[in-house]
Amino acid sequence: MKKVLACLLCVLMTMGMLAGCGKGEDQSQNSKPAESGAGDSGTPGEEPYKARMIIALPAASPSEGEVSRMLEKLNELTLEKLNMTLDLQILPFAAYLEQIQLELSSKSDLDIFTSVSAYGPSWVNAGYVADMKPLLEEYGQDVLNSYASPEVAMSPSLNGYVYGVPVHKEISQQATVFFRTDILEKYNIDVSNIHSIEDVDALYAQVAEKEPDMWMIAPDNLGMPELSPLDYVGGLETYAIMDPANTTTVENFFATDTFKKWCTYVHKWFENGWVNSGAASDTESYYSYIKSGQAFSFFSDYGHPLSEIDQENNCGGVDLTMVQLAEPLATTATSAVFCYSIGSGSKDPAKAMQMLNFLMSSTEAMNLLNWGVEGEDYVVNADGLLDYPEGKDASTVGYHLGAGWILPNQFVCTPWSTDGADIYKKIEDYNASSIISKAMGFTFDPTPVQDQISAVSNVRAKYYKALITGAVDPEEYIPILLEEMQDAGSEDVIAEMQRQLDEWMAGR
Amino acid sequence: MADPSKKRKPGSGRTVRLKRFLPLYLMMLPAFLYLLINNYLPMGGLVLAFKKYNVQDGIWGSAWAGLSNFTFLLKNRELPILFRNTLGYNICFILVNMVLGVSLAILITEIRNNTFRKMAQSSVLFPFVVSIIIVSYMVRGFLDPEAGLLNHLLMSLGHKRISWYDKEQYWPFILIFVNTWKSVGYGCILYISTIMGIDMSLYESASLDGASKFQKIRYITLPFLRPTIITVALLAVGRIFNSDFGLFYQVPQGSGLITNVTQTIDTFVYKALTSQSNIGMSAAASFFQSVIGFTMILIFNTITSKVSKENALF
Repeated sequence: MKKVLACLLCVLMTMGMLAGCGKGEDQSQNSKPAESGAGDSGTPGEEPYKARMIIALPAASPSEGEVSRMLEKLNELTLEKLNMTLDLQILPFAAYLEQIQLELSSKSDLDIFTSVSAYGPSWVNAGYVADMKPLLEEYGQDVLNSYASPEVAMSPSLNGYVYGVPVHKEISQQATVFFRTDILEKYNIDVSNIHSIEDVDALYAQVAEKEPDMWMIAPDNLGMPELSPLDYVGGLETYAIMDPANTTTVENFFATDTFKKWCTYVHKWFENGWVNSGAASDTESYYSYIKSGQAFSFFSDYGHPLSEIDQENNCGGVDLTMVQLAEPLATTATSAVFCYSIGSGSKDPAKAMQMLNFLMSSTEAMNLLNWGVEGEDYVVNADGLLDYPEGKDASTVGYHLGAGWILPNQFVCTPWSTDGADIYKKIEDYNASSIISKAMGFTFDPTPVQDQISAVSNVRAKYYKALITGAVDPEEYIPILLEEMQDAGSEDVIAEMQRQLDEWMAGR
Repeated sequence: MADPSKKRKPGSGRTVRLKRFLPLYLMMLPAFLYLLINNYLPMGGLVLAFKKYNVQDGIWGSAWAGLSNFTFLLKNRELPILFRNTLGYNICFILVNMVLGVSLAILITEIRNNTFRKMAQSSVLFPFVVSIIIVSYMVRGFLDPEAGLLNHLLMSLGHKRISWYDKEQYWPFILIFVNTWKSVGYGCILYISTIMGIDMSLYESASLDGASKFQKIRYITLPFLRPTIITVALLAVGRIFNSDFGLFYQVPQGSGLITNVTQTIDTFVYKALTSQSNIGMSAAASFFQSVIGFTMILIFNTITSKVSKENALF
């Protein structure tokens, strides 16, 4: 009899625990409509809405204490203007990627977050993000006005489902090469007549003779420069429209001359001993080889007005000289690398949109996010630009992100003194001067060919790094790569991409 | 698990028995609840493998997807290579770890000096607690084409440098070596504790009968070790279709050209799905691995119970 009782007790306790969990959920669900109802009325005196926000940062984030010191000021501002407060987390990129997937897949109450537009389509398909179109139209006037047109604002979308608004920054990419200025000066080299990879090759030969122990190039094993304007449709860096200003034909990028040309040059440099021969499997950032003086140059895809300063920061302050090798080109992928999105689990999407609208239009708020608290983290100098307070610098100041290109809207910030008063004007001019891809605004929905995409990406992973860092002979390995890609179904992917693109073009 | 109610004691009724064992049941309760909540309830999530998961509809509300989540894995041309690598490496790991683990355990227990034995014991276990990320950089320290120890050695002997991370013929040995170095200590500690538990008088009487060292190992130590060996092996067999992700992903440092000998089901799934956030496909892959793992346990256990019934798990 008692055994039965014990069992019963056991079951009851378990049920109690489960019921406990269940109840909590119920309550939170019940309170949901009530809260949003109150939110709509917007009457003063009600409980302020607490919006949760995650911002990704490429570098280490400031300490929690510094963030909350900044947040205190920001919350005074939002409380006054919106009767809302912000619960902000700033995460370094690696931690961000992990946490954001976790938050979104569990439908957390995250309101606003930095999103990576390459993930956009799959996030839409998985229901992770809210459709921002109605929200933008109703609550996001300032957001929409900050872009050239509402279409640009809503370009991160899949079949009309808007999953984010792009971060305000340069919209184009172009192939560039960065040389160490000290070496150029040492041998009195003029870079003004360098316009192509052939010229760079000749320059390497000249420098390598004098600096036999130095690597001419520290290759990036994650991607190669876009030596000619090309649009990586679908964001997989596997398929591309070559000459996107004039055509919309999707090709296998690895079958193009542009790819072969790069691989051939870098392989030649590899054979000459001018390349870090371990680059293909290196997890060390190539910047560190520039910083340590081991390497002379590196290629990049960034040629915008802030690019040189950004790259010098990446290389730990080494003086660099930038040379542009191609025209700037804007595509869906380059114009919205990062976006700001609203989570599908947001307790009150309307309030979240209002908060984002405020952040993207308020100079005070953006200055706080980007540069910190006035008087503590920055001071305004005689020209009206911002600078470090007396006796402080980048390493000793408490809060200083200086990462406008991943924050909602850097264009409303007050410029930093070293960037120059007209920096944001310069970026806008740069954007205006870019070639625009004909497929700009098109987002590929990978769902119908998901199996082939995963098979092809596995093949790509095998050879890509070795080819673009010169470790293997392209004459031998490109044909193998193409054959395996074809077996994995690359042609199905291209056909599907072309079909969706043609349909999209027709609907414009 | 032993069921206490089977031990019938003359004259003890149900009530008495329950009174005696109630504390034991109560002691079991937290662990039982933990198992239930942590290991059994989440199994409901397996349904995701057959769903087109959408977070807004929730797990149960999402549309059914049939077997379409499985096709990316099962229809892939690389599947035979994935099977060969995953199974092949795991079989090698199990055998090598067993043979070396048992030998090391016997050698260590033979050490007379107490301090030295403790030191040896800790030092075999130490690599087990080193993070695989650190291990991968230690390996890099040896194999780096520019700055690695091995290439320096080769060049000082007048050989050409080898770009280790591009040559697939070396990797089966490298991976088995690294895995053994890292995980042999774990089994070894279990074997040592079993050996320490063997009654010393058995060895003493064997010595009196004139048994040599090897005879004592052969006829006393090994038979006592057998249940432990079988348990360790059985646990490993259950995970034969899962690979140590860190070992296969971090140690080769993502080098593509050696993929044919370093890629396993786990790394394939990771590479194929990281950029797609498709929970259904990920769930399908691990469901598939679990089903095969479970089948392998059943097969291995049946064989064990045929050979020696008392050592089988169930």
